[in-house]
Amino acid sequence: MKNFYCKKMMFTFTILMGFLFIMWGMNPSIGEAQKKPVKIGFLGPLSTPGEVAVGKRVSWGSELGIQYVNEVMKGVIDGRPVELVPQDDAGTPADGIAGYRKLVQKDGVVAVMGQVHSSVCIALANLSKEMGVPVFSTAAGSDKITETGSPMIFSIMALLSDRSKAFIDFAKTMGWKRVAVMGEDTDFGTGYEKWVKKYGADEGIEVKSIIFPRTASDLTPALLTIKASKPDLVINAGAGHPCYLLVNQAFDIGLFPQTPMLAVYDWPVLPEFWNASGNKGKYILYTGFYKPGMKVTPSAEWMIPAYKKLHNEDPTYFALNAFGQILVIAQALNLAKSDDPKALQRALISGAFQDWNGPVKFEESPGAHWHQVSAPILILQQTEAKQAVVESKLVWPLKFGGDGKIVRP
Amino acid sequence: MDLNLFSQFLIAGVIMGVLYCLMSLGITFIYSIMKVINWAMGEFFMIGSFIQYLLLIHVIGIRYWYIGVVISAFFTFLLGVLFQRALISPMFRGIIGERTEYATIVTISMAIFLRNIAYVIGGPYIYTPPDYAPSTRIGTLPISGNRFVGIVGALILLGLFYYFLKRTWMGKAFQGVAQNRTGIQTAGIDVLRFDMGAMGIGTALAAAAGALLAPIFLIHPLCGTIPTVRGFEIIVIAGLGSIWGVIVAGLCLGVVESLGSAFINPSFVDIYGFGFLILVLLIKPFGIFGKEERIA
Repeated sequence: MKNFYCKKMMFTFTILMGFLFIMWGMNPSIGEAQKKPVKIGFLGPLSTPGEVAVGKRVSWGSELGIQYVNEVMKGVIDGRPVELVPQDDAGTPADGIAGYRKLVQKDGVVAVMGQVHSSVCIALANLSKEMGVPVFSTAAGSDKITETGSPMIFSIMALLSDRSKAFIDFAKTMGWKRVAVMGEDTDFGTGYEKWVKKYGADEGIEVKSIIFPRTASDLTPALLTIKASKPDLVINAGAGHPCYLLVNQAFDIGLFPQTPMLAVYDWPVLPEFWNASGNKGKYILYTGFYKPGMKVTPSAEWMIPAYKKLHNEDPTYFALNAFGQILVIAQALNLAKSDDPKALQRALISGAFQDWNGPVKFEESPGAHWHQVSAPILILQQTEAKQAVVESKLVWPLKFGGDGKIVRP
Repeated sequence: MDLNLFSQFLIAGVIMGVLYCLMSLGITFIYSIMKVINWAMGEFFMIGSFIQYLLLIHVIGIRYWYIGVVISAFFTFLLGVLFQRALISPMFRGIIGERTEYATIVTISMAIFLRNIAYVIGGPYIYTPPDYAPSTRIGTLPISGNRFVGIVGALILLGLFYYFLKRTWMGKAFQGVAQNRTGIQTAGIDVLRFDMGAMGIGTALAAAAGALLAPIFLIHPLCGTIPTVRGFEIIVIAGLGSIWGVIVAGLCLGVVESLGSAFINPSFVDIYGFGFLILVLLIKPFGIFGKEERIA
């Protein structure tokens, strides 16, 4: 009896396995094999010490970019879907290099985008020469990134030198004579120190600078030194929690908001900043590259409401930039008619593309403008705590509608 | 530099020094009793900050922040006791041979584990409780109400801790364990129970520091790193196991960092502390209050 049941079970098992085998054989038809997804790597800071608040939004923008390519553009290279492979670089070069190698060698991505930290992106720019897969800077602005001249590096981001020039032009417009820079000890912070000093000297503006350790928890002595120099403007060149600490501790010693403070990117529009600083952040100036209401392309008109619906906030410039970079990669894949990274690279330098706010063309210009496209630089002000980005006051440049006036307490 | 500015640097240094004392008190106490360095102290500091944040935002409200400090300390006391009982205690029961190595591995593993738990629960984001008090002034220096509360809280905790050690039977027993673990057992004291208490009190002190200083240093999974680094700098300068040494070393470290920033360059603030540490060790190799030990 026992033997009978055993045989019956074996028979059932064999039939079941046979059925599964037939189903497996039927599923991936030749047509569908051609629709194998094209993988794009997202490599950005999703954990500390990286700038998580920016990394998170870049990731959100990228996801919407993938959705747009699949739903609106109907895929790439004759209808193949695109897929995002996310990887955390924690804002450190070591994790960035390991993440890039994993994305290229294990996941087989055709391009890597989402870079936020300059120090990581410089490391990847050099590595990409050897690995042969394009890397996009989404939010990293150090001049050293594109100065590598790597054939695989592409940047759609304002350079630190261009932003520093804008800060000095802004100070000149305001009639200020003394500017202070507080920069963290990374390529990002030291880059600002170098360029603001250079352009300040050119324009006869005195620049006092301090580089502080990114891991510092007490910046009071450095801020007291800055306060003693009586600056007309303090440039806050930190990323992540150091820039929030700078605001809070400058407020505590009576430096800010009496003396205006300028953030070097748009972190004052993030809820994370207001959670960390509360009312102390009121009156902060920030560098923006986009203001809601600006004229954008139809793809961005699709993205902005979708982003708001999903995340209950206006998209930041970096989220839009990530979205735009996915679109650029998708258009370049169509132009290349191949998912080979080298063919993609050739298409990127030969073609012209549309991202979220206009045409993009990567020129092989000398120096930092190698494969680099920049957005206009704006200076805005948060005149209220937790102010929505759409309500930020445009201060400068005058040609884009800024009134050249800042609100003070 | 004018006198006004100099006094501001000096006051800022003293304030930071007092806060450093609070951060490193727990590490010293645990070491002096158990002769074990708890590398996870920064994570107990972080846990204290997180508990305080959750209590203030979701349970008791900002008005009762001081109750939050007590609850954070109490909860972390229990966690510390559990940690000691489960992971540290076996090495004192004759099971483990290489105690120092074992303690180092266990406490570092615990630090990584707790940090990752914080990532899982709170994500990699930055949190800050609202201000405990409005801005004020100490002498010539305008400071935040949070720093003022931090100093007052640190002084109260230091005072209570001193009273506990010097004026209570239990405190005297702890001192006995710290002085001679074998000798005190001949007087009928169960040192393993005192180890458990020391771990609980030490971690509770770290959590109270975390809760008090949460609005100043911001809360995130890595916020315990600086207190750990500064704490170990201080106990090496002070001499391992010296409570008075911690107070002197903490104040010295705060002032050295602040004046170094004022007179040399604020960019190298971390180097001044380590420079001071090397100088102290060159003059007094066992720290300011440390004593040479004879090993049988």
